[in-house]
Amino acid sequence: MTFRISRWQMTLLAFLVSTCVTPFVYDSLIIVAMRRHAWMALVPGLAVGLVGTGIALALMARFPGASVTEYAPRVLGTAAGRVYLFLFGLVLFAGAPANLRVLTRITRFTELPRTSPLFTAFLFAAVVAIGCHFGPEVFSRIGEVLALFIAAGLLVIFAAPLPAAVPARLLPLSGFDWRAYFAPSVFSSIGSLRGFLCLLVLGGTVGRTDGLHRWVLPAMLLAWALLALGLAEPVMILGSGMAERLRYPLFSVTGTVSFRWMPFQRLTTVTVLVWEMIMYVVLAFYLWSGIHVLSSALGLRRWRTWLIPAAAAAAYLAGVSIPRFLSRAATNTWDFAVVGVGVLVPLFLLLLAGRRRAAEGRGA
Amino acid sequence: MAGAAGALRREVARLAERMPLPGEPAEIYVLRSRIRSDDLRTASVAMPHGRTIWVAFIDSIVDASRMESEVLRPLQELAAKGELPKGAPEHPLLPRARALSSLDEWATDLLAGRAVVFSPGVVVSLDIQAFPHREVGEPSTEQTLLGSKEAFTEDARSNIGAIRHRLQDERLRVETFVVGRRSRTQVALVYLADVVNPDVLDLTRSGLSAIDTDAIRTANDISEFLYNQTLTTIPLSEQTEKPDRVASAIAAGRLCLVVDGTPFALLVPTTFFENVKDGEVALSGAVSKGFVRLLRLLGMFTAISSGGLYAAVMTSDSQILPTPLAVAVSNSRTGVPYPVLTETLLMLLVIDIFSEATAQSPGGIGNTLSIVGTLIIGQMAVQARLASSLMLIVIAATALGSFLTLKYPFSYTLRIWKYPITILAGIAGLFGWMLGLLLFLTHLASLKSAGVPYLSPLAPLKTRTLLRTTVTDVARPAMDLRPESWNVRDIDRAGRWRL
Repeated sequence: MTFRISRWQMTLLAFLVSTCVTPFVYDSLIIVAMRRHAWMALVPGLAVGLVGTGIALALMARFPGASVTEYAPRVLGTAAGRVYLFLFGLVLFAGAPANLRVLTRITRFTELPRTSPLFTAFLFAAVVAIGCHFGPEVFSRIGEVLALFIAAGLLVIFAAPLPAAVPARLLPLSGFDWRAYFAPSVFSSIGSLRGFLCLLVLGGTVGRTDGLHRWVLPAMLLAWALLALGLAEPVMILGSGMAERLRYPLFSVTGTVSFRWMPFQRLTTVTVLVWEMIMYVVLAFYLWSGIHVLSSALGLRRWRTWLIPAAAAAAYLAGVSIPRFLSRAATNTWDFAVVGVGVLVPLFLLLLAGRRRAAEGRGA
Repeated sequence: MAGAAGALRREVARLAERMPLPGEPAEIYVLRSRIRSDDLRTASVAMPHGRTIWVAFIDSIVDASRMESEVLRPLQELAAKGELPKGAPEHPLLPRARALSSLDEWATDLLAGRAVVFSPGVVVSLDIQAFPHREVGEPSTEQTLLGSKEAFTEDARSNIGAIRHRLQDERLRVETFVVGRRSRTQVALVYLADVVNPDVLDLTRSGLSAIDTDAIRTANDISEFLYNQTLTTIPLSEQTEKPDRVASAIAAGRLCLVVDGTPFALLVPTTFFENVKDGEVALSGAVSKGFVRLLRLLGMFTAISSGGLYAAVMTSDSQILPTPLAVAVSNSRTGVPYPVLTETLLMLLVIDIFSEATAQSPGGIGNTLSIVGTLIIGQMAVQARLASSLMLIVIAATALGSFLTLKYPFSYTLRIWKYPITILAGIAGLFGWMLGLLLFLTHLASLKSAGVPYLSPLAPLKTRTLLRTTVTDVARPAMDLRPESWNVRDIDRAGRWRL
């Protein structure tokens, strides 16, 4: 790859890909399953996210200047490597419609109630495709510019409703039923901290990798804290009984905040705009990396040729109407798949590469 | 050389055989047959033994007094002594004479304002050029309250002189290129040899050598040839008419192109933030400088986004406004017969027409147009219910904001991009407005000026440069270090840093 991104850009991408779900995706099903302990649903996700990040960083150290598309075929062999990359590419590509779907639904829920989700999905995908066309260098730069606005927006979104919060509603911490972890909506959250995907796909493009863990790991922890707060805050403000009745509890909480001293009086506006900024970078990443990895798996040289069809397909899949249970099942499956191709297989790659190096050392 | 001279003699003899000469030597006839122009004049100086020295020059571009004092009088003295003129430095009477050996050189020097002297066996040229140019004046497109009031003229030599006045450094290099087969425009590369980024220098040198066109009219032509900016509205080199700005940019490690015949120099590389930097450096303290730059950025944001914001809020998102404001805004549109998007686009177009008309008109007419635009058309539009009163405020903010950028060409970028943003906002409310802004941001992020990302030092982030020389100028550190964005050879201005 001829692209080059900096450590800071990689950190931002990892953070944004991990936090893109913050305000909305965690719908009330987790609160229904875990009540006041909802935020604890993400504890296994934290462990998986950190392990996945550690594995990706170790692979970067083991294969300097290479990304998963280069080292996977080397370690697994061409055929198996390509099969893995094909699956990985599919999972990455699926991230685009999965996230875009939620964005279009929320937009319909708030800003554009009479507009077809298919239309907003196509509009957004078209703009994202333009960003993708220029590659990761450009959408990383966009992330850098937006970082300040996103940070300010997230601060307002999370801090503004806090005066109404009653932390005691989260207590006592003990006494929750650990079997709730096996509820599908909760179990699937093990794949919520997905920043390691960026390290796997773009690891080879990072200019300086020394000390990268000191940048990425705190970003992942911060992302996790925001995700956990996104589940804890509605419970603290509304109580778990009321929060579980709302489809998007955090979003509903932000809807109750009003700034009368500002030209924009409703916080929901800020929330949607900030989320749109985050989703732009995140969707650009999923779309680009999906096409790039799939192109590598299929031996296609010109990934840009597939950009418009892929963006159109993502928009269609995001905008088309399907039953909620099916959409939920697809999201859960995708979360598992992320862990499978993003953590388990890379762990296997790392072990296999280590074993080979040991064998080569003995042979020498 | 001897072969070339022989070929030239044969060519002259061949032409002389074909056409009878009316008193002038064959060389002059050859020149006349090549440059068929009435302002090609000749003069002659008689020598002993019936020989004559002939001088050819183009009347409109030479200095008559220098013709007398630096060409004819020395030639008469030479003739009196029976000597022949020679190329410099051999002759003290003609210290800047250049020996010529080909017909092309005769024509080129003649068109460059030199007098071509034909004496038996030798041809030399003497510089007596006097292209018309105006006196140094005040900048017309980059007026700042506190900055220097000196502006470039159309004369490249005096422009380079103005730069040298401010940078009296032996490492200041001036390389001259001639561009344009017909215009033969002189383009001077000016840079500090020990500071400039060698990649940018090589890119520009090779780009200038590769330009193949008949005529160069403006500095922007050079920029478009060099940096392939035909598809973007954003200027990828900075045009400036201020020598102080050029000197400061060269000192910071940038490269300047001075184009003869145009009062604008080009600075490369450039970034987005250069559009808000100038003049305020004379303010005291980092806070004032930062405040001015922030105001300019806000103005630019207003210019590009306020039309779209109006369309978005009035179309689908009026509920985000506080209730009293929403009611007032809604009332102001009462009676306007067409949709918000139509109203916004129409008024944006009207204000752009006025802006363009004002910019292209002479001072007095421009002021009249402003009054007509603001008072008569604006007020009448509201009274006739063609637009709401809030719309007029939005339009005024848009127009004023677009001129807060210090670089006039960039104001066109803002003026053009507000249309797609407004259309997206009109279609999809605030969602579409944000999409439009993201589209603009994507365009900015995708650009590079001579290899430097256009959004640098914000993206890619160079914290030190961003804080010290972009958000504001903190005097000491800013003077100590050159901006990292330019990837210069030597980042340390004062020799204090160990990097």
